[in-house]
Amino acid sequence: MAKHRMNKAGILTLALALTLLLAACGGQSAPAANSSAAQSEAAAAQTPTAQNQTPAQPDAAPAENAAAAPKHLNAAIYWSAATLDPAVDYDGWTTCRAGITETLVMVDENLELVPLLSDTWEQTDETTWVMHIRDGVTFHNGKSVDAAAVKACFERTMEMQDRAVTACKIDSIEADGQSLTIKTSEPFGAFLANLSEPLYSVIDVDAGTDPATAPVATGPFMVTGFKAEDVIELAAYPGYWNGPSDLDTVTVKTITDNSTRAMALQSGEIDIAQRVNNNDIDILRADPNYAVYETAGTRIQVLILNHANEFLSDYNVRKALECSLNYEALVKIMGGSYTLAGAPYPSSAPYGYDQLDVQHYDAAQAKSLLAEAGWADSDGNGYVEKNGKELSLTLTYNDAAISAAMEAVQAMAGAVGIRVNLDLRDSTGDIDSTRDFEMLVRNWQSLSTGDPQWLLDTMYKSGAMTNLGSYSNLELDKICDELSNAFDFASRQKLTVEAEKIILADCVNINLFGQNNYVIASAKVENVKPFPIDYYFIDNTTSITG
Amino acid sequence: MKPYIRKALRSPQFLLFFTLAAALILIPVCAPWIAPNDPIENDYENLMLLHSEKYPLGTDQIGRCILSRLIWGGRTSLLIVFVVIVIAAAAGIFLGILSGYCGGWIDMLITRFTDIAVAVPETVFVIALVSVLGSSLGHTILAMSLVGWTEYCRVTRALVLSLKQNAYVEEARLGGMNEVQIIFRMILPNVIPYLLVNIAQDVGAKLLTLSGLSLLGLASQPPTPEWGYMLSEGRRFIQSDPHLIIYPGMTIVLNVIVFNLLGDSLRDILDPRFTRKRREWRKLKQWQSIE
Amino acid sequence: MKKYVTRRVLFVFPIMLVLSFFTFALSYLSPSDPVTLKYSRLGVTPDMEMIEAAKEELGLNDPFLVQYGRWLGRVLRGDLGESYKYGTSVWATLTEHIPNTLILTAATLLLTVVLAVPLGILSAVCQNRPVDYLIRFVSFFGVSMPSFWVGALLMYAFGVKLKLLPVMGDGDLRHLILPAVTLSIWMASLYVRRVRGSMLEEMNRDYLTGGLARGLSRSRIIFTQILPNSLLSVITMFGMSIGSLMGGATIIETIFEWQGVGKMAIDAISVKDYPVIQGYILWMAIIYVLINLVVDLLYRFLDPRIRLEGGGA
Repeated sequence: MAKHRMNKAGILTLALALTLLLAACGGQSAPAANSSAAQSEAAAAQTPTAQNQTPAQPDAAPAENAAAAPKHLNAAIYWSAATLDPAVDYDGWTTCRAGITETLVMVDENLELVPLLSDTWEQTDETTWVMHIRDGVTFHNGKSVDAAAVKACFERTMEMQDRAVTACKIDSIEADGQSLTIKTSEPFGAFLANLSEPLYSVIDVDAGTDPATAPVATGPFMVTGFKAEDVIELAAYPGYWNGPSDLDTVTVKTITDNSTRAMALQSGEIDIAQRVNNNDIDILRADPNYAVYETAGTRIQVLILNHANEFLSDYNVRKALECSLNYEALVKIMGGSYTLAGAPYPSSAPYGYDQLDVQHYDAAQAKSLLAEAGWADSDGNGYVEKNGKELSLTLTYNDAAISAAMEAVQAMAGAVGIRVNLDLRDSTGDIDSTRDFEMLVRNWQSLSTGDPQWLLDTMYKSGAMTNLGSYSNLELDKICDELSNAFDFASRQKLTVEAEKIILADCVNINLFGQNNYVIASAKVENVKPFPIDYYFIDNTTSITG
Repeated sequence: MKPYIRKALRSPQFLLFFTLAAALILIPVCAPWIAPNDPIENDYENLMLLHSEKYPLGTDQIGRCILSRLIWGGRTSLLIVFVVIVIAAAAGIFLGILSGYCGGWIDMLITRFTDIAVAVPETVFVIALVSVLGSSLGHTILAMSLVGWTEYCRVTRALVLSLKQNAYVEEARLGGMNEVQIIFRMILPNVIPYLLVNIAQDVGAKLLTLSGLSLLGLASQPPTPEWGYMLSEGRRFIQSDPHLIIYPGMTIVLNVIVFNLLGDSLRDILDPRFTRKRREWRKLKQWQSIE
Repeated sequence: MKKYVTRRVLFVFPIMLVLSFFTFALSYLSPSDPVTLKYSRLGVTPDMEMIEAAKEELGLNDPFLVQYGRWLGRVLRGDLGESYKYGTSVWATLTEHIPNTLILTAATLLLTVVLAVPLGILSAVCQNRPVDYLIRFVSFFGVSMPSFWVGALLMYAFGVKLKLLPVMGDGDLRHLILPAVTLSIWMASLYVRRVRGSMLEEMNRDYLTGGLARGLSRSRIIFTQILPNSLLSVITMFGMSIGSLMGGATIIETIFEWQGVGKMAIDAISVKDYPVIQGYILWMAIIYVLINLVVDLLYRFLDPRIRLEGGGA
């Protein structure tokens, strides 16, 4: 009897397993459910998947299809905002992505500074800038934008956030009609570029609404609903100065999980998204229903070393760590759209990557550097010690998507005798104030605002707010000061390369890998622009067919 | 105790699942001898292999042998689960006996406390405690034990209450046994077999909880292999390399099923009332069919 | 009866005291303090003086019990405070997330009942026949799979491959399907086993033999006597399951980006947003008391044995 039962159970197991298998494989051969295949293939053929599309036509007229059905776009962003107030935290980056707010100037697809709300400007002396505010720009409530409105907004932002004061070194602002005069506290070469940081988004501070949930700004889309860290509902602003969007409404959804974001694209819930897992990109690229827009990115995953740490204060230890890492293997682990990043700025940026002695893998050198500094494996456990202390460092990071690479870093450093403990946290934000860390991975926007000085001033200069590793080199500080006084590109470029050389020679931090920027959209989405800087995403030309 | 063991040895079901469970425990224990590769050795030339002679179940995202990681992973996963269960069961039994045996206000207090502890959502509690105490495996185990004892306490209390009424406990007391002796000689030996059912089933439940906690990064320290961690890491590759999520998932399911079945077969052995009634029911049905 | 209800409702206070004490201890022991947290959100690195001033203002320098008492007082007046992270009231945060959790709970329960009760009955009635084996086998699988594994596989199969269903929460009813199905696969499997178990136990009672002897048909006995009695014993467990769902299915809410209280609690914990965590605990306490009350009352109302034994107990 028992035997008989077992057989039945066995058959059932088999049947169930087969059913599951069929269910899992069945989808592969099934045609795409929601669109006519021929049409989408044609659309895909037209959609460029290569780098650098033609630049946007600033005065592109909106399509004249008033009678057509309402057009709706579902977009996904990968980081969430607690508020929509550009003056709070980095929430301006979100409003900029969503096309709600705009700055006076912006950085375009070619990393060049172009006019936005300000159409012309002039530097009248070393510390004075006169920005002309474009005529005919209106806030979402119809009020026209003049210099006084911008002044009021900037003053509020500066009062609320220190970063707004230091980033542009603004001393005073004066408004006269459409002309805005900003005086900096000292000569500052990066002024104009830094003005493109979304923190300096212009909103109507007298609109009577709470900017945290309903900012009244100038972008192509206005906010109709907002749930913190969840969803932003938008409607096209018909009075947009650069030609209103062809879309009627947009939903910007926060999806923090990379796999979920990719699946949401594939299931059709989302039409356009920034950033998905690498292995998923290849799948999407092969699928004619999607287009992958890629451009050399400016983000670099940096391993910040704490120079106040007893071990890391030693150059040999830092350099040994740098040499222990097999950067090519790391890039391979991360996958296709990641790149080598041997220096503070990516090789795609014009800051002398080829002239530099970039980071490289050399395990033998790493070992000899440690031996030279007196580290030896005396207890035979594979890790080196000195004065009875093991060389053990904790690596803190907060992005589960890089876990595999971090485990590889752990293994690579371990191979030369450095013990690395991994510490994955939900958030590492509190480290900004506590500075309680040994090694910390941050995903840095190396060319935020399109100018190199931002990175040097905020991450490497002595005493800078986000110089978390407390690195200090007076020579580098001097270069930062000189950069402030350099206003032409050639001399800024030269100074930047010099700064890079110092940073690499001191082995300040370790640049793990660079990251290309990509936008993935359904083939139905038109005019997608992959910006090298990821706080630009959708704009007034973004549209969708049928 | 002895009659149970004799009965267990006569139950083919129990013997089968016991053997399977023992095998599942022995595999990780013998990991150094049976794992084909070093579970933390990276082969950067062979990332995400599906299968090869050297790597029977392929390699993961940083070129480590998946089969070896599954075999070694059992050490971490099962050890965590067993430690949690031992702590939770010990605490639960202690409180249960205290509550059931002493009665009165102690019983009231412990029962109310148990009621509250049952209401605490496990995952949220573990995350909260770990965020305060700091992220470490020890703290995760502590937190899981702190919410895991309630069922043991309830079952023990109920058993003690029914045993207390039993005539032979009264006889023992009259015969000069003190309270401690009664607890250790008469109560505990009768309570523990029943708790074995709970323990076996708890292994499955805790394995599932642990895999959820791994998703939130609370279970193991890399590079130590652990099933839940492998599963949560593999989730990112579900489209491109599904074997990274399928194998650890199957491993967890297999373990949970075997320990659950072991628990079920144990209960059948221990619950004479149930089996007797089942026999009656069968008789009843015979009678019915005759009709 | 009235007395009983009052006692149960009054019992919420000691629970609240214990739980709120616990939360307070948590925030008290926490390594990072709310002031630095508040400042870092505004992009300011505060110096010691600023921190001290802000701490004084928020009353964070007072002794533990004083702070605790003050908090309790505010809560009793209905003021839950402001979220450190969003700057909005905790009340608003809670009311935004609770409905989502309630919807998910309701859908999961509905699916669970629809699946588990008939299958459980079928399994018990056809004990040891092929149907029983099939149901038991499938339900065994159901309770043995890690929920997020199931969730991920379902997302892949129905969202990506078949493109039938949306993979994440929020929006119309279709978005509810995958998270609810994922949860109810596990729950329904659990309850199939429980319904079956308690049915079998009831079937062994003497009244069945009595009924048969009195000439009642077997199906009549099953549906009029065995079923109600066996479901009764499942109700208590069901209450606990409802409670745990209403506390938020943390993992499932997270992977499906479902904006429920479970996800809210996890997010709040990760940024140490204590007012929101306290709000969550309050919610848990309320659920706990309500569910227990309802289950107890239902039990008393439905079970003739208890009703007969008298009102006092």
